[in-house]
Amino acid sequence: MRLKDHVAIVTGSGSGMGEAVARLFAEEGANVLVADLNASAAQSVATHIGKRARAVEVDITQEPQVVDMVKRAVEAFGRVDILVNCAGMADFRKTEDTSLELWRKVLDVNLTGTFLCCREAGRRMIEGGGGAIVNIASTSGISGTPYMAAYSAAKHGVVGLTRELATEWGKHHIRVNCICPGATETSMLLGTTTETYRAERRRRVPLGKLGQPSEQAQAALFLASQESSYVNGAVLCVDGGVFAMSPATSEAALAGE
Amino acid sequence: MSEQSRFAGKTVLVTGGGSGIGRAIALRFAQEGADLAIHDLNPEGAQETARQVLELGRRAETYKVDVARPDEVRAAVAATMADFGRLSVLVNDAGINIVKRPFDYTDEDWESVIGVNLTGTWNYCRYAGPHIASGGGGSIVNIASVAATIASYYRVPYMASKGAVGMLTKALAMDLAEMKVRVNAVCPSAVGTPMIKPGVKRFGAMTREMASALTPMRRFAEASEVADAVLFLASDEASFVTGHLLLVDGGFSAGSQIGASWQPASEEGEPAGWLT
Repeated sequence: MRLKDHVAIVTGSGSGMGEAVARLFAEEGANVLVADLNASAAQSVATHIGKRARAVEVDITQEPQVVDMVKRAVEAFGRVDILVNCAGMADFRKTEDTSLELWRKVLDVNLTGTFLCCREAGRRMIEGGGGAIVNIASTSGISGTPYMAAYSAAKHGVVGLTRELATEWGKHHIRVNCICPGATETSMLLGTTTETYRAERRRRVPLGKLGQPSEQAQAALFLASQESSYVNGAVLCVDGGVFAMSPATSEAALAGE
Repeated sequence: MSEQSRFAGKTVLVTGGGSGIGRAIALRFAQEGADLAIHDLNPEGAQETARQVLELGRRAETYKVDVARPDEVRAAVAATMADFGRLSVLVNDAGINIVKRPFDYTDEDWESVIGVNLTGTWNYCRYAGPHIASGGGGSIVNIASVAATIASYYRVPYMASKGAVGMLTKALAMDLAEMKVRVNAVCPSAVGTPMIKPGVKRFGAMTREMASALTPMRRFAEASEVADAVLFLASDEASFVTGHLLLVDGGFSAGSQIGASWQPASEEGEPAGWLT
């Protein structure tokens, strides 16, 4: 088992990638704090995992709740070794129709929430002598995605935060990396896109499919485990090859040229 | 011995497998159940790696190859297929470096570095790739370098070759995706292997201590840590990863360490300043 007796906090783990991460980490021997805005979803995942898991309701944009979440992990399992920041929200909208309120909310959840979780868990990891943080960014965090201004900006921020923390906390033996998933079949994607959109996206992925939550979870496991002991500040694309590809090339390929 | 066996029964070809990172890669694959084809210019090094693979209970064969020569690569790949009958993973690790001031390089210097690092990688992709594809798919992992993304002093041919290996990786990933062959690269920073020598630096020789002070993790990598990253990319765990350059650099290229000695302002109101 690759995470035997490690303690992991996984935000957004009531569904989607976070749920896949929580389940996989528990299978690999970790004790997992299943944290989600949706308390019943978190509880259901924790119940399914069994005695290695505890559920906690958390709104990561609320500082006291994040402080509490990390406390809960320490109370339940004694320390914090791993943090996986999966909690996030997406919204497809023309920029000219994006209200300041929506902009702030998307930035708050995706970027500020990630910062708060890193800061609080990081404090424990510094005390404890080290750890690993995996942020779920997005390919929208390293390239532009139309109709996702706030999301792209927030995810670029997550990539920047990841690199900064990698340079600042390396001396504390804390590795900080991020994953940039391409379109992945999670409840977030299914809830914000149509099947037509997803079929089109699928056609444009070199590997010819959308990502599965389990494939993102495997990448998170690598980055959280000792197998990546010298990987720090990395931005790992798990996107079927989309980021490597020129957008123009994909059109030519689609046209059969 | 690893408790995992992600490569049980698979054949893995490692170029440059006779020393350094290549040997560490070969041994990690063997620990996880793979049989190894060790390709190296140095037969003694290759045989030593093979001996260690055999000790792990796996099969190993060695092939003496100058990777820069397409005819030698074609023949060595054919011999490998005759010996093993199939191929799942190719790791292009063979690499050289010549450290000089830019106008001191000879034409031969340029050709040898580009020949091994870039043309050698291509030769193996070209001649071993079809066997991976026809066997139902698999994975190619190239050992590039942080030099594929950031520059440093007095190694122009090396950096040019590694930059090119990075784009070769991405371009080949596009073309081989439909054949179920994923193509990725690992980009290590300095690793304590025979290839690392103190370079001629503008401000004097770069010492091991100086180099590790510039790395957020404050140390060099072990070859086994690069090998672990190669195994991840080669395994089914990375089934949605292709065309990717994975940094294994301890945070070296994530940002500047120019401010690493800078003491930030404290909560007690002490001003920011340089650590002495």
